[in-house]
Amino acid sequence: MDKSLLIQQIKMSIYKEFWEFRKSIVGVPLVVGAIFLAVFIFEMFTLNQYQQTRMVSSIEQINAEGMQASVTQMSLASVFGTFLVISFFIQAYYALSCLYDERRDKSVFFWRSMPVSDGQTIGVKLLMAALLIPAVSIMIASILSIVAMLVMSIIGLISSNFNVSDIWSLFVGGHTLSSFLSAGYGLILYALWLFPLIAWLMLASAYAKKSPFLIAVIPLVLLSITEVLLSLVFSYQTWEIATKIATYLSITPDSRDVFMVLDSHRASSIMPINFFIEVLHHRISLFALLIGSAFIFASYWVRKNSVR
Amino acid sequence: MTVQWDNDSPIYLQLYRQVIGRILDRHLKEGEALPSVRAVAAQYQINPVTISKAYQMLQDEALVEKQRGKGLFVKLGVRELVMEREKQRFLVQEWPLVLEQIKRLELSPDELLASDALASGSATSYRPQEEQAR
Amino acid sequence: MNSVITIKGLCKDYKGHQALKSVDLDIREGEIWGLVGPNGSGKTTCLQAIMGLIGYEGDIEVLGQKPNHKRHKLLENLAYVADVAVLPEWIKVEQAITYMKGVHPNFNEAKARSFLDKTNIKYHSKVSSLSKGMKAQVHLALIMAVDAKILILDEPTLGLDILTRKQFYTHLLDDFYSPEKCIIITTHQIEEVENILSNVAFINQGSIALSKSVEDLQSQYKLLALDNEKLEDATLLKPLFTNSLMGMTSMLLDLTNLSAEQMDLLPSLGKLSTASLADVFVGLAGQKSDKEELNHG
Repeated sequence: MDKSLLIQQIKMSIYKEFWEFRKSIVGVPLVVGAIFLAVFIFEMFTLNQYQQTRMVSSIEQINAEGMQASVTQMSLASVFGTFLVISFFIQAYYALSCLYDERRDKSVFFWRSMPVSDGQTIGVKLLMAALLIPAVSIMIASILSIVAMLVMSIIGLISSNFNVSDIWSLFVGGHTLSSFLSAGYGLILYALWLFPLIAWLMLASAYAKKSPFLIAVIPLVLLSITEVLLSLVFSYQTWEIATKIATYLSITPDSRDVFMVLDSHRASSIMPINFFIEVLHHRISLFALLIGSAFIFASYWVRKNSVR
Repeated sequence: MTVQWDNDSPIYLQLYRQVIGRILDRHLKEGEALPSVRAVAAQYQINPVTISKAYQMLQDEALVEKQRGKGLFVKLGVRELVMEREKQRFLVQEWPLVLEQIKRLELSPDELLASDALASGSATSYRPQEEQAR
Repeated sequence: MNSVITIKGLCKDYKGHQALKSVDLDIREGEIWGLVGPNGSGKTTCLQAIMGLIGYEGDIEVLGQKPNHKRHKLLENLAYVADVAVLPEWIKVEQAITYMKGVHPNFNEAKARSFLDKTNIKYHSKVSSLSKGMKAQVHLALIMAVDAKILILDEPTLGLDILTRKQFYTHLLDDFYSPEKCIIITTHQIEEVENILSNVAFINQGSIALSKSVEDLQSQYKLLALDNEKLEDATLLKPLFTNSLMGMTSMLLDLTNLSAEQMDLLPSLGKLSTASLADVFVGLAGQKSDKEELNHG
């Protein structure tokens, strides 16, 4: 009975987070997706003759050269990538708000009168911030992609210019389905990678009296400034904590580790999603996870001991 | 319902007297059920234990009886019993004080009787059955 | 009757300010306690300790356990409203019900709904769109629908109109109360709650000035209304306070301070009546208290 109660409570707590932040978590990606789709459909249906001919020959060429994988993957990657970036901002906003808003409007008095442990509360909010919010964005991105593909297929069927089978081979050869599955795995890695940052933001959210954003950012800024000053005063290397944090969080193609990944694979054959997964593998470290855990524990402690 | 309880006696006693009054006035008939403790507590906004005490007193005096599962019911023949008892009580305890007040205010019997007619919509008008006290 | 909350020697220190100084209380099943005291007296601190919200020195046992150990388990049987104005603004009434149903094993949805049905509150309304009184009604309806053994209400009628207040007390006695439960209420309006309480504790400056059943209190403290002529004789009775108006004086007496002879003398001095809780509290609070003189329950 105890275990099923716990599961029920966790389920309901997750629902509650969604109810509270629905506009940000679901609304924003949905609106963005709808706009993308609208623009895409508009473009597709208003291609003039010249554009259509060019598109047809491009598709033929891609199929001929066996480049379906790269092209489709690139397109998917850019869509998913965009949504992941949007999700990052939603996650940061949520992490900064989830333990602050309830204190600001005093509703924490109400929540803490429920038979839900502080541990469970923190756990659910962490789950939301690290995994569930990006999952929603990715799902919307997936739906968007599938709908876009359907639209293209429909065009292929309707239009005399396009050849449906050409379009379809684009999709199939592009390993579309397997990349969706990889995306799931990638999501978990993404969550683990961002965990320390999210934990830090949640701590700021739990602790801040006025502005969680400032509480989160100012220490980092001060840290960077201090280190810069120290390295100017003393000639030898300091801890370079700020630099290490920056490296950890970077995932752009021009950082060192990323080159390592590219080196070990033939650049042309790597799918963006796998590339992304590889980089994450390199980034995630035990140390970072431990730091993150410390932040999360601190958040838990702060909430438990805030009298309300 | 806001009832004004006075400060002279405990509330449970006042409640008890209220039930007695209802029985005498025939508002509460023999064989009828008393309202539940919960309902009275909620309506008058008094602690349920206070109500229970009053009800217990009624039970102890065998004025009401408990019917299993149904609550407390006014026993048959109780009105007569209570009427007699209350008459005695009035004559022995309350009347002498009223009499003293009448004397103090120097009221005459005529004035007293006239006031009864003034009383609005009184259900029972005075029927002299005893000699007037002087 | 079993003890539900036992407090022995409860102390709380806030950086030099002692909020609670060795508080003792024993609260049993079926009791409705009023915790009365001026602002800053420590009553909220005392409740916070019982609700497991703060650390403390001393012993507190609530339903057999320490309140800050496995607090979430305790909360399955302890329901409280620390402040009626704290429902989250964004939530809809319907969502709040669904939430409590999923999260609280002892929540009775039907009870909550039957109470709300009697109000004008729509289930799909957001809390933010409700008036202050309605927000309080929703919060109270939700909490009182929990079949908890202990209910703690800290100023539940604060800011509510008379109608809502009456409805609340009716609901409390009719739908929530049972002889196995206990209720603790704090309020500034003692008169309103006086007849509902079975026990009362007066707390002042961190100490319990008095903790008794209302019955005992009413037999101990009486008001004596006498002519000013008899005043001199009466001062020997050590009244807690005296109030003179239009040739008549009203005195609050503690009968335990009187000898048997003095007790017999009372009817001749004037008219005795029961003191209201408000009278007693004012009398006690006004006294420069010597701890030995005041009774502990």
